[in-house]
Amino acid sequence: MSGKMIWQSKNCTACHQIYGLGGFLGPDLTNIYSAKGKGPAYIRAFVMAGTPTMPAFQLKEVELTALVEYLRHVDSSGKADPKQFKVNYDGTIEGQ
Amino acid sequence: MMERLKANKVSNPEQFLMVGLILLLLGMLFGIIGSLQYVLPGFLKSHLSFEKIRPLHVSSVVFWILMAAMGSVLSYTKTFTGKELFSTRLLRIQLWIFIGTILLILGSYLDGTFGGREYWEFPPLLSLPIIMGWAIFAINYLKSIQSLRNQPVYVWMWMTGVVGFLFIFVESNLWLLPYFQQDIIRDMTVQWKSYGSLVGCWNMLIYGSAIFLMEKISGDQTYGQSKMAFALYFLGLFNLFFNWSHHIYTLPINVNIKHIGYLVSMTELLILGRMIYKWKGSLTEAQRFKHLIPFQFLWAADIWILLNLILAILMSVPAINIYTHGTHVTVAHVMGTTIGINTMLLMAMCFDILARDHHNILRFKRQITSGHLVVNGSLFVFLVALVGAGIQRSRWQMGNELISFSEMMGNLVPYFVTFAIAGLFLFAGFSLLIYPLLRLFMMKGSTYLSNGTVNTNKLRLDGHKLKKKPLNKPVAADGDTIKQLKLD
Repeated sequence: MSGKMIWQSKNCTACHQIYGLGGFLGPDLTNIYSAKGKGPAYIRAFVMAGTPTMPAFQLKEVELTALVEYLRHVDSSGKADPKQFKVNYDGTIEGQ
Repeated sequence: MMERLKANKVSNPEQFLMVGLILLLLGMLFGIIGSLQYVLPGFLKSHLSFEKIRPLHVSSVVFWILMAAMGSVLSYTKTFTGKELFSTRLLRIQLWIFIGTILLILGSYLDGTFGGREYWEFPPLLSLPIIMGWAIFAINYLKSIQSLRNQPVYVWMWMTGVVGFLFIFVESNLWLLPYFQQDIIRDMTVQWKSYGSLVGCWNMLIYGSAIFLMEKISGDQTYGQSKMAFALYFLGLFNLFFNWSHHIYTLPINVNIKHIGYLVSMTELLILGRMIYKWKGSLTEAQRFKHLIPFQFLWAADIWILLNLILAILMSVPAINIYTHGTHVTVAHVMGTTIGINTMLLMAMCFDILARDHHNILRFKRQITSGHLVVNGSLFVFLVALVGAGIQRSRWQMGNELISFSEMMGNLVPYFVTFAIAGLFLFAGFSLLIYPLLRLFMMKGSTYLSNGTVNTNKLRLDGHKLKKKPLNKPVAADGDTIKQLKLD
């Protein structure tokens, strides 16, 4: 199963966002792959161990690898940080 | 001599409304559990963790909206045409397709079986019966109306919602194709384009029904044929097709798409301006009809439309959107519109359609008034708590504080507690409103005589039969009758 389908089959979007779209119980994961101090090992740890709120998803190694690869693809599509945008006087924004 | 009365085994639009009301109650229960999971981390995590509860809540309330909207349109189409729908058999099939599919969807969530996307998290195969059921709805509606020529605006709005939803729901499943699935930006762009338009379609069904109801209450049929009504309809249609990029200003998409979404969204200022301009006149109207239960909900919806429109227009300005996007202000917008506008309008239709016998409903008048106050009061607190949480999250997102996500969420707990308590009161208020409708529906027996006429056998709650009353006669909650809408 592709990483995207694993993301959907576990309904990660219920709690997490990509580009600010999704549920708000957990953090935005758009750039979790390249964020300082985070990355693939961080993602694996959270998915397998969970938190008091997040279930521990006991994925198989091939599934976990696919999910991490999906988050790498998402990360490579752009940056989700709203601070990157420049605001214009007419209400428009400039950024990526 | 009167023939033996046969129990009614024919589906009718009222059953759509009843299923919808049950889903609303369920949706609120799931919502309460979800709000408690914000306040008490790990609450019910082993059996009903948040990734199950959220779609259980969202799908229940979305299907409340869809079922009640379908029921209202079908019921009012019958009233408008003055005859039965094109096919009662198709109506029955439609009803059971939706009931069966909704049960499967909720069951899949309880089982932890997903596969779809946000708001449609169910396995994609279950989209097929939804498409089938909606296609049957479209056939029945279009065949019942027969022609759009010289029809009032609400017939056009219903047509738009009925036909548009079908196409756009198919569009929302385009992600199944590799061309869309393999590119996250393309996928999310089509996803949020379709979601914005789907909401526009169900709004067409609901607002069209609200206009029909208002004509029925006032006895004035001129608005539905007026140029202003059609101008506003086309403005709504224009937004339905082109304003959707205000959902994805922060995605790396073509800047022209963002500009189009911004400009089109700002045309809603015309609607806001008109509402403010007509406010004084609407107060006079409110005085005239305030004793009518359906009107009380229409009036409440009007106020929520004003408040939510201001918030929505602000959020549609990209420069403001970067502060609200990804925060609980977005949740406030979603809840404010689905509860304050859609649900209030649908409750107006439920009371109009399900509670036509004013004698029975009068028994619940005090309960309905209390329910009204509790719902609107708690909704205000509910939304303020969400906006407050959203502002704090926005400060964290846009600021330079180096606190972690979990620490930031910890600081929002007072807002979540307020939100959860307000949610409990919302549930209590809606229960006060829904209970009389459930009671009336259970007691009411629509029966068919073998000579083909309909005898509505209305029972008082103390068991005595009332005199037969003609169908579709709008009545006031205090017993005065209103001029019946004359049909051409």
